Amino acid sequence: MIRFREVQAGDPSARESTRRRLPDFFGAPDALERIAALRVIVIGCGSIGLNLVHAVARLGVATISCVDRGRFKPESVETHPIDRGSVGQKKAWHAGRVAKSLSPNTAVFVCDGDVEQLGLEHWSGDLVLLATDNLDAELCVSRKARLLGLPLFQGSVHGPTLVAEVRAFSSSPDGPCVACTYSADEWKLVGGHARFSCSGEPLPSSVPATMSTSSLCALAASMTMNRVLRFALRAGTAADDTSTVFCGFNDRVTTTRLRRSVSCPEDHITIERRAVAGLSSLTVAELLAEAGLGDDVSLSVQGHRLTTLQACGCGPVTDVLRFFESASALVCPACNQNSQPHPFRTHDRVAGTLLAGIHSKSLGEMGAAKASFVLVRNHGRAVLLSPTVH
Amino acid sequence: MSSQPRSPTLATLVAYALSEHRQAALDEADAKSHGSFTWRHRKRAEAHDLLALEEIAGGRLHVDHLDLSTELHAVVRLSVPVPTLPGRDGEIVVEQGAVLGLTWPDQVLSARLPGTAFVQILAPSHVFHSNVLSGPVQALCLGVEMPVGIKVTELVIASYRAISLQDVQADPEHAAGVLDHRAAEFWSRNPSRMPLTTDPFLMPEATEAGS
Repeated sequence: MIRFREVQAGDPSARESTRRRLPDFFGAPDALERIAALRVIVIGCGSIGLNLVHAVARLGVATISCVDRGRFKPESVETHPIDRGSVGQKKAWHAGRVAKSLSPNTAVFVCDGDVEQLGLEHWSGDLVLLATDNLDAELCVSRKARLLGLPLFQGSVHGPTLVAEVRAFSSSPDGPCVACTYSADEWKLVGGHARFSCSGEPLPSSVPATMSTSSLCALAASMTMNRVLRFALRAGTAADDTSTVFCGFNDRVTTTRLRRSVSCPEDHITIERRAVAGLSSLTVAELLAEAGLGDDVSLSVQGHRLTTLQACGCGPVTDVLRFFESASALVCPACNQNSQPHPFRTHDRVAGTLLAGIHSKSLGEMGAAKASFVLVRNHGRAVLLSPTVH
Repeated sequence: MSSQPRSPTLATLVAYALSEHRQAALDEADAKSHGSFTWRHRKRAEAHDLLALEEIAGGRLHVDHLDLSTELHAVVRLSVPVPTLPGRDGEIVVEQGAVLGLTWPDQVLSARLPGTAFVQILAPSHVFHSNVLSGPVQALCLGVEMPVGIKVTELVIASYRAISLQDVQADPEHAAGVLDHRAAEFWSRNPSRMPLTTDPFLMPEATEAGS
């Protein structure tokens, strides 16, 4: 299961305060408190992302969550802020350890798996910083940030033209997402690095390396960090659905508005959060009533899928109607051996007649007692029901 | 109906006017469709083409169930020879039809998916095919990866060609697409028994009849 793990401080006694060099920001008397409370998610800890982690840690924020599945290569030292001793290390763990060292009071979390596999429950933050070359990861991060209503700041470079860019997405219901900005050529590249095994499992992809200079990458990170500061200080609208581009050939800075594309295939829903007590004891009907989105809805249960057919090698496929934990095996009631949910009869989202069939059952009865939230959607709205509202 | 193509083909499916009962089935499924505007629109278009293909296929294809509520789900019956190995005697039995479970998930709009992501052979059981997982879950592999946005009708036709062994990866040394090595070895040793039919998915007279 892909999840975050917390980085422990190398020296537990090292608890000195950071933020001793921060200025008195103009018009923001409570700036230090705001910065200290900030929870930042950094996706991609490479040539730009690692600079972001350094800078965020130096601000002494509350939490930093670093995500990257890659390792440093020998050539990484040319663009990343690392030395040769770091070659071979996992990027996310290196970033996490550096962040913890720079800011011992910050809670630092690391995920070295695929961001695509990181469940919605792990996206606990105030904003997302995106610095990856992988278009599939970009789309996934954009989708989740938008669903959770988290502002997204994306730093990127184009080495051959000496361009550094920061794109700021508000994740507002009417705003653009990363996919809205894709050209036809970019859509052709989506999934281009995906590889699959014969059983359909994704294999590690080979995303081309960033061809740039360390200075340009650091500049893109600095431009992104300026947005983070503005967000923390509430200095204007930091996440304003714009792209700011610096061109190193003529020192020109251009800011343009990003617009929502009418042909964007992404779901532009932002969730509303509601607290409900005793989630696992509530029936599906009670959950739907709590969501208040009517009957024409679909329902997803965190970490679970609903199956109506259980397939086993011992004989005929068994009829069932239950949730099961996505990462766990099912047990065949006939032979007590591991069996599997039939892929054609297994659903992440439950709607229509299937939903009607489980109306009177509680999540606990249906095998989803461990679920930490339920997501209910209709055409235009989504409500997340959980015991606590983050 | 005046715009109906005289001899409908795959290329003209999009403009094909469905018969009344198929149009009603499409409208009923579409009324329960969820997702973004783009996703709902695309599901409807794919479902239309699937039903149009059923109409022009001259009995080759029957759509038994269509569900657009989340992903596009369809249960279809294909008239196609299917190699099976039902007994322990090693005798291949060729069945004359297959029931397929088609799943067309929303990720297909923005990602290349593995060739096993779309089609499950629900019947017959004991399918003996190098590109079909043996056991209670019979996933059909249509290739290492499928292009972004691949159409449902293309998946159906690719399934027909794969099941009838017209288009098959039977080299057991070639990892891509081979899900049953025993079957792959058998079919690679018996190339003269392939394909099980040379009939194309759409027979010329079928498209004439469909018009």
